[in-house]
Amino acid sequence: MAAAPEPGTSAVLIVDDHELVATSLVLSLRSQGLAAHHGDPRAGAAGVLAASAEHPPGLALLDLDLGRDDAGRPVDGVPLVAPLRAAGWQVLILSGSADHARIGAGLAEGAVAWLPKNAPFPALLTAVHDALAGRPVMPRARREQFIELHRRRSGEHKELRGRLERLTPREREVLALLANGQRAQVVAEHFVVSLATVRTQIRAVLTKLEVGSQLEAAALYRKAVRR
Amino acid sequence: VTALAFALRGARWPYRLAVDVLVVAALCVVTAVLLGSAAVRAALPVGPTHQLLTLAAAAVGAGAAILAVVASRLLGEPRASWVAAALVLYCTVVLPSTTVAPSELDPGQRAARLVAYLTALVLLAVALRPPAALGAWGGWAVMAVGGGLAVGVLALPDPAALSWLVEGPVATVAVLLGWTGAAVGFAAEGLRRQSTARLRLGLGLIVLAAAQLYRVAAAEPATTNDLPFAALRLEGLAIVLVALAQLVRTGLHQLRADQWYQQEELAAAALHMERAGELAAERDHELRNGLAGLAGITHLLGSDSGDPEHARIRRAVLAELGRLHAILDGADAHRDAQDYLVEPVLTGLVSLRRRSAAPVALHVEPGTSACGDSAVLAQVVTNLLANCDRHAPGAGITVTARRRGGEVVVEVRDTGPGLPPGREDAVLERGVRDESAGGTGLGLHISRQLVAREGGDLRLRTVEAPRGCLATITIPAAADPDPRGGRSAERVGGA
Repeated sequence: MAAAPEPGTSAVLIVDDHELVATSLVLSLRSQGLAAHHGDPRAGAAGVLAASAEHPPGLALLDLDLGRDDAGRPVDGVPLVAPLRAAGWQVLILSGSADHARIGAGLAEGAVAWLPKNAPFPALLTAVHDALAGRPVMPRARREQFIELHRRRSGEHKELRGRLERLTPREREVLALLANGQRAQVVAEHFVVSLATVRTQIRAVLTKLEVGSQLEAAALYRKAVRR
Repeated sequence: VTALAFALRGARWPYRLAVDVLVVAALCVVTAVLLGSAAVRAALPVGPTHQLLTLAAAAVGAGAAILAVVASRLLGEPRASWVAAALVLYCTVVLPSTTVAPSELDPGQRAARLVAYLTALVLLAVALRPPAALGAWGGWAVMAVGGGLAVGVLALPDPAALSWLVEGPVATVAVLLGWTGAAVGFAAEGLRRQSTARLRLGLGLIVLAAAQLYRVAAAEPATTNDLPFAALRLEGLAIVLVALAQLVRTGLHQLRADQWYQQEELAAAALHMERAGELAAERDHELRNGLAGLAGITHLLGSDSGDPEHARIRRAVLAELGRLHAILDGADAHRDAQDYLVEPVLTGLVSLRRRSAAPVALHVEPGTSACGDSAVLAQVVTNLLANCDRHAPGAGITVTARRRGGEVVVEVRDTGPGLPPGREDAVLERGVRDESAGGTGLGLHISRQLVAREGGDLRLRTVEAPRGCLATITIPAAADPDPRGGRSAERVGGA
C-alpha cells in the first residue's frame, strides 16, 4: 500500500449517508495515518459544505445518492462537486450507482474519478492513496466515456424539455396528471371540464410531442422532469 | 351528475321517439299524396322518374348493406350481418324485377322473384333473433341458398305448374304480413333498447312494408308507373341507410372509447413498472451500501489478530459478501470458466458454519479441482446447507467432494427426515416448499439452474442407514488435475 502523505496536512472527507461505510472508511484511513472525517449529508448540501470548511481541503470521497435530509428531501451528490472543487477539494466519486450517465455528470463537474462501491476494500484504500498522490485512479478514456454519456443524456433532456415547451400551460398540467397515473376521467373532474375536452387536449399533446400514444407521452414527460 | 344525465336521457327518449315517428309518417303521407296527385303526374315524365327512383333505391340499398356488414363487425352483432344479406337479396333480385310489369313476366320468373323475396323475408325475421350457432355468416349462407333456389325455379322445365303459387292474393298477403311483422319487430327491439338507430331501422322497414301495401291497394295495372310506390321504397331504404350509418358511428365511438381505455390501462401498467423499478433500484442501492460497509468492517476487524481460524472466517465472510455483491450486479450471468480447487471453497463455507449449532463434517479428496465458477459452487452449497438447517434442524451434516471421471461430485448429506416420498424431483421445481418449514421454495430451483448453467447437475434423494437427505452436485472437473492455485474462493468483489 502507498505510504501516507504527511498526516494532518490534507484531510479526507467521506460524504456518505451510510453510517457503516463511512465509519469503516474513516477508521481504515485513520489507521493508515490519514486525517479522515465523516461529512454527514443528513444536514443537507449546506451541512456538507459547512463540514468541509472545518478542515484543510484535501480529498473528498463523495457518494451520489446521499439519502434524505432532515426535511425528507433526497440529497443529490452531483451539485456538491462544484462547490467542493471551488473550496479546493479534490473529489472522488464513491458510488454504488449503476447509472453511468449520472456518474458522468459528477465527473463533468470536475470529479477526478469514480470508484465503484463494490470494489474490494483494499482497492478502495489504494485508490484513495493514489488520488492523494496525484496518480490517475481511473483510465482517462473511461472517464471521457462517462462524461460523453452524461452529455448525450443531458442533450436528450434538453430536447425533451424543448418539446414540452410547445404545450400550453393547461396541456402541460393535463400531461403532468396523466404521467402521474391519473385517468382522463379524473383529469376532467379535476379541471371541471368534460371528458371530451380532456381527450381533445390529450390529442393535441400527442401531436405536439410527436408521439403516438398516451403511454409514450407520459413516459416522455417523466423522463424530461427527472433529474 | 350521472343520475341527472340518466334522467335527462330518459326524458329525452320519448320526445325523440315521437319526433322520429311523426317525421317519417308525415314524409310518407306527403310523398304518397304528392306523387299520387294527377297534377304532379302530368308534370313529370312518369317512366324515367320511376326508373330513376328505382335505381336510387338500389344504390341506397347497396350502401345500406355495406354499412350493415361494417356495423356487424364493429359492434360484434350478427344481427346486422343478417340484415345485410336480406338487403343484398332485395336489391339484386326483388328490386330490379319491379321495373318490369308483372304481366310481362312468365310464372317461372314470378315464382323466382317470390322465392327471393321470401328468402329476404326469412333473413329479416331471423335477424331479429339470429341463432348463435350460425353466427355472422349464417345470413350469407341462407342468402346463397335462397338465390340458388330462385335460379333453380327459373330453370324448371314446366314453370306453368307453379302458377298456383304466384296467382291469387295468398303469396302477396303472406309477403306483406311477414314483412310488416319483421319491421314491427325491429322497431319494438329499438324501443326496448331505447336505441334511436335500431328504432329507425324498424321504421325504415315499416315504410318499405307501407310502400308494398300502397302498391297492392292501388292495384294499378301498369305497375311501372307506380311513382308513389317507388318513392316510398326509396324513402324506406334511405331511412334504413341512416339507421345503419348511426349504428356504425356508435360502433366507432365504442371502438375509440375502448382504445382510450386500453391506453390508460397500459399507461397505468407502465407507471407501476417504472415505480417498481425505482423501488428495486433504491433497495439495490441500500443493499450495496450495506454490503460495502460490512466488507469494510470485516476488513478492519481482526485483520491483525494472527489467529489462522479468525483469518479463515474473515476470508469466508468477505467471499460471501463478494458473492452477494455479484448477485446484486447480476454478474452471475457468465464468467470465463476457470479451474479451481474445491477444498478451499468448501472449507470456507464449513468454517463459517462451525460456529452455529449443526456440526458439519468435511471430507475432500486431496487435489480435487473443478472447472467453472467457484462462486456458483459456494452459492449452491450454501443453499443446500441452509436447506438442511430448515428441514433437519440439529441433524449432523457431512459434506464430501471427490473426482469421478470427468466430473467432480460434491455430496451434502444430512441425517434428517429425508424428502417427502415421491417428491424427489418436485422439490427442485420453482415455488415448491414445505409449508411447515418456511422458505420461499426458490433456493433449490435456483441452485439447480445455477449448476446446470455450469454444465452440471443437482439431484436430491432420500437415503437410509442412517436415514437422511442426500444432495449430489456434479460439476465438470478441471482438465488439469492440479491447477496452480485455489484462491478464487477468496475473491472479494466483482469490481
